[in-house]
Amino acid sequence: MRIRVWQELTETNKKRVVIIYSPFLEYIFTFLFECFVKEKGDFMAETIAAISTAMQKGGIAVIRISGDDAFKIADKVFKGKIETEKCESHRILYGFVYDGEEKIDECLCSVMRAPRTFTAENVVELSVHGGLIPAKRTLEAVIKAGARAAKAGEFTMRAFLNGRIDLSKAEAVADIIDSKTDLARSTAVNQLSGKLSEGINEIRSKILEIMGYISVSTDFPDEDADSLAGFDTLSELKKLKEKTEKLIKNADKGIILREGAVCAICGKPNAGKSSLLNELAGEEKAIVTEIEGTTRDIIEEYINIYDVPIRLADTAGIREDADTVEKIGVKKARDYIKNADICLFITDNGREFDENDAEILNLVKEKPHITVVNKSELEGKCIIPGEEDIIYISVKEKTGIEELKKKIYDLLMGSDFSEDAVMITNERHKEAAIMADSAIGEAIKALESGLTEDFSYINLETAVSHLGEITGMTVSDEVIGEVFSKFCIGK
Amino acid sequence: MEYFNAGKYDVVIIGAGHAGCEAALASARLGMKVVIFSVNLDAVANMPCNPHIGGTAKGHLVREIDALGGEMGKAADETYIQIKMLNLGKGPAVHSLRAQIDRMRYRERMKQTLELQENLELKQAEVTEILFDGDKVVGVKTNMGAYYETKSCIIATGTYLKGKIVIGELQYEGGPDGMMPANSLSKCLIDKGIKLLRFKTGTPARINRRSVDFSKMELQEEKDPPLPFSFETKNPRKSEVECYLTYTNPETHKIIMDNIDRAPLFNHSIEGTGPRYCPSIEDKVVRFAHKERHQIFVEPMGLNTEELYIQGMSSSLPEEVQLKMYRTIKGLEHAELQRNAYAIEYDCLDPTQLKATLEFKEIEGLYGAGQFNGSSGYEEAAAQGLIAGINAALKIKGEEPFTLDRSEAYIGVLIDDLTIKGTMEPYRMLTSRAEYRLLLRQDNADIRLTEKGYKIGLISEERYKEFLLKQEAVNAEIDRVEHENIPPSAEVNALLAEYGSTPLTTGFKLGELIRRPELDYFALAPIDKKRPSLPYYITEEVNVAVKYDGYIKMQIEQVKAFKKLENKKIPSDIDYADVKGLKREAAEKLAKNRPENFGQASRISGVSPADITVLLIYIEQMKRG
Repeated sequence: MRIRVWQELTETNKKRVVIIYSPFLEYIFTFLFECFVKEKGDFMAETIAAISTAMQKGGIAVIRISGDDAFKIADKVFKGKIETEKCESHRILYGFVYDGEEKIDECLCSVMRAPRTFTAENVVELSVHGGLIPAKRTLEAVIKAGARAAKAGEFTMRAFLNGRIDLSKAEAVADIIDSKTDLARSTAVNQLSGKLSEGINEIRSKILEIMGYISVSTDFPDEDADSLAGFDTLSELKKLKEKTEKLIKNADKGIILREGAVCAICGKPNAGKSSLLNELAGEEKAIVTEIEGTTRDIIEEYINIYDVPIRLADTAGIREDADTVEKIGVKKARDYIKNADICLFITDNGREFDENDAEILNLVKEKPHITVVNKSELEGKCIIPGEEDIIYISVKEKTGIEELKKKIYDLLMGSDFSEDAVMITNERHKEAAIMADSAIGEAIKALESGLTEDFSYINLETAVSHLGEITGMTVSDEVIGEVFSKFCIGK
Repeated sequence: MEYFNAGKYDVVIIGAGHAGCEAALASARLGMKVVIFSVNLDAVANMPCNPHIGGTAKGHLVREIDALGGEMGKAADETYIQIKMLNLGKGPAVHSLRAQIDRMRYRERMKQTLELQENLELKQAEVTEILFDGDKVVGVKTNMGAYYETKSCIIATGTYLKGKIVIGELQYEGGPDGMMPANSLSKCLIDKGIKLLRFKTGTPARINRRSVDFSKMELQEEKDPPLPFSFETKNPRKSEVECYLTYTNPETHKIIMDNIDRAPLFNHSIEGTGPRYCPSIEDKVVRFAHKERHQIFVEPMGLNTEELYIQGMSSSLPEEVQLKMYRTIKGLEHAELQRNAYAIEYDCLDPTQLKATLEFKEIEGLYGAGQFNGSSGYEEAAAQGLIAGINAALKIKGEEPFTLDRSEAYIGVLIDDLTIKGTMEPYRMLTSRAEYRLLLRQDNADIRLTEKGYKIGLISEERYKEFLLKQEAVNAEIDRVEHENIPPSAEVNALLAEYGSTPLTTGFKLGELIRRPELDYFALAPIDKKRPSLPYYITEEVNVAVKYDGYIKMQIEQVKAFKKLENKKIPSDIDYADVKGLKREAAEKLAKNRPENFGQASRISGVSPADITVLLIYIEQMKRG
């Protein structure tokens, strides 16, 4: 029932009302919906608590309490020199956590008053010793004292609903929680600290500036020409386009960091595909035998190469004269190549490059790929016509593997990749950036074809509203503000 | 004071400025019994500031008023002394008419129109109080001791409400152009719980022509446009006067800076908020200190007067400083100031208290229009007056209200901005405020609105028929142009070469050629052998519709998306305090503003996309019970 209604609601959202789609909003949607359906009380008025560190052994564990009654509740479980209720904001208190009379653990208690907190509500964070027991017992005590256990993502949702963070930041929090590697996390952290918003806002304010210039000359035609001198709309637009293009280029990398890349390993049976996968994955996963065609299904493994999450797939060997079972595997392999971000073509030095290899290489060539020759310890029989950039490895002797990893990384991220770059990490943002970029392209086209600037203005309005879909900002009277702040206008 | 009953009316209008005049004429023409008050009958339809009608975006408003059956366009056409089309070098969306008006003649013309109008009484008196029965208007009282019973009342007090004139250290209670202020009405509104704002505006000095040396100024050469404001004006007159351009200089700026402590704006003796687009000269000199000069336009006020309007030099500096300051300017060395520049402060309404019909949300039968609603400008005022007058009449007749949205007219943008977003300064219409400006052109105002004006009852049968013929002719010509094949020939290619356009090797549709940036409908006349002879008001439409077809289609798509949110209604009985998950600020703003649909809700400042999402779920949920 819930799912059906939910689908209807999203349908409403998509079709009848133009509201931006976002997994995060979808989350809020579901969450709120549950609250309405279950006739819960005012859930925003409740004080919530949860263990905010990962549920595993670590140095410390943090229990976060957020809501109007955060201090009242904290004072029931935490005893220090002064009560949190009386403590200044953004101070750390030393003391102990109690469950009734029983002392649970030594504790550092951070007191943060609304609105300068993550959720923009009163927040207390109790840092206790790591390990699951102290953390769980502390949380239980906090709940006994009047807090409600927070649902997953509820802190972020409150931060968003309270206007503390914008949409792109909210989504970044979700990215951090879900991040698969350190690099993905640091990109998400960049986004949270507003790097994406900043990057987008920089582009946005540039557009608004250009719109301001156009608006001045159209709405105030009597205005001095000298106040507009030295501003070349076309070249400004072109500079702008470079920025949006870069943003989109980086978007693919951002999405790879968040969602991982798919890499297919292709080659004739027994070329060493499965052993390479095992070598890269660092554990025995694929069945490795000397019999050709052992791998009949796709075997997948998640690996990190220099912190880039990669879904590595060992495809069945592609052979024309295969038996039936294997043929199915071969079809799957072809499909897999279609969906892969990059491919590794592997052959081995123990035999000559034949037609069958060439056929596989042709399939692989549709994608960014790396040609790998395995068994480099053997005397070179394998000459691959037309392929110059070849990596020689030996899985057996573990040589060339690092070089291969580096090559995979470069192919995915580019050798000039920097984790400080402004990066889009989800498809919705990328879509919006592409739309904005194409609107700017249209604005340039309009000017170049000899249309007047007021036509470009229409495209720029479109561009700004697309960018607003990333940060959740809507277009308002900013252009007019821009005009009045920069130009001296009036009767 | 004893009051006598002065009679029963349908609509009472307070103030006979540009808003009041349109409101009164619209209501009376729709059969209402109307009385309109002015504190002084010599101030009917006065232009206390610049003697212009039109200008960017304002020209659009005048044409829309005309298409709906309003008076301003016709009156301007009869009394202009110069007219031109602004922005001719730009796209058709931003072409705007602007006319220099003979101020005295305009006043006389409008006053007489009111006097001749059936069902309409024009009276000199100050309305001091509006009377209510609960939340319904029942009558008004005047300073003369008269009581007028009424079903509705339109407040169009302009800058008269508690008006205060400021010239340097001199301050006194006063209305514009030396008129008396209206000091009593504010209290009655505040007592009724209505929120008022305090705004400020200003005007430059008027200078005697005899004392001006035009040889030191630049003559502004203007070309008469092919069509005037009103779609009914058949034979536009020629411009009769010229305007001049001169500049301020470092000496002017020095005098201003030396006396800046005497400027009310800087010594804080003015509390009202002034418009950013209309700063005083002292404001300009302080804020844009790097500019060495500012433009000054010198414009005649009429044919039977020597007064000149000095555009660009509004000020509230003392008279002594004004004299020195004006006389530093080239050509004004011996200027005789007939009227000093001054600033005026006045009470006006926080317009978010109004519906799109301009009726108060909480008070039945009470309407606000014009500068009283926080706008500025004669055209903005007239547009609101027309809408308020129409709706007052429709309501009494028991008919559906009449509103325009942002995709239909500049008037829609104006009223939506005022009533939904509100304003923190006197609001001026600008083309950049209209999202769908390529659809809301001044040339197609009749196509957009004549039908509506006809349905309301303000457009005559004759004019409507004429309009239908025009539309038919436009459509037929567009159709012909899109299908007409132009084969390659020496003549065709010679013409194309003349415009730097690629020659033809195969046949081309005429429409395709018109869409080439370097060409248009008019340029292709010599090779378009089958072209019928059509008047400009038709060919202009054809050219724009064909040439900018791509952009027009894009904007039509945008309007479709806009309409989706606009058509999604919010129940009027919704209790925002009950909507869980709504930010408090958003809930308060929504509760205060009470938007009628999601489109309006999304334009309220402080309401985020997340709030809209939350609201959507809540309403879906409500529907499901």
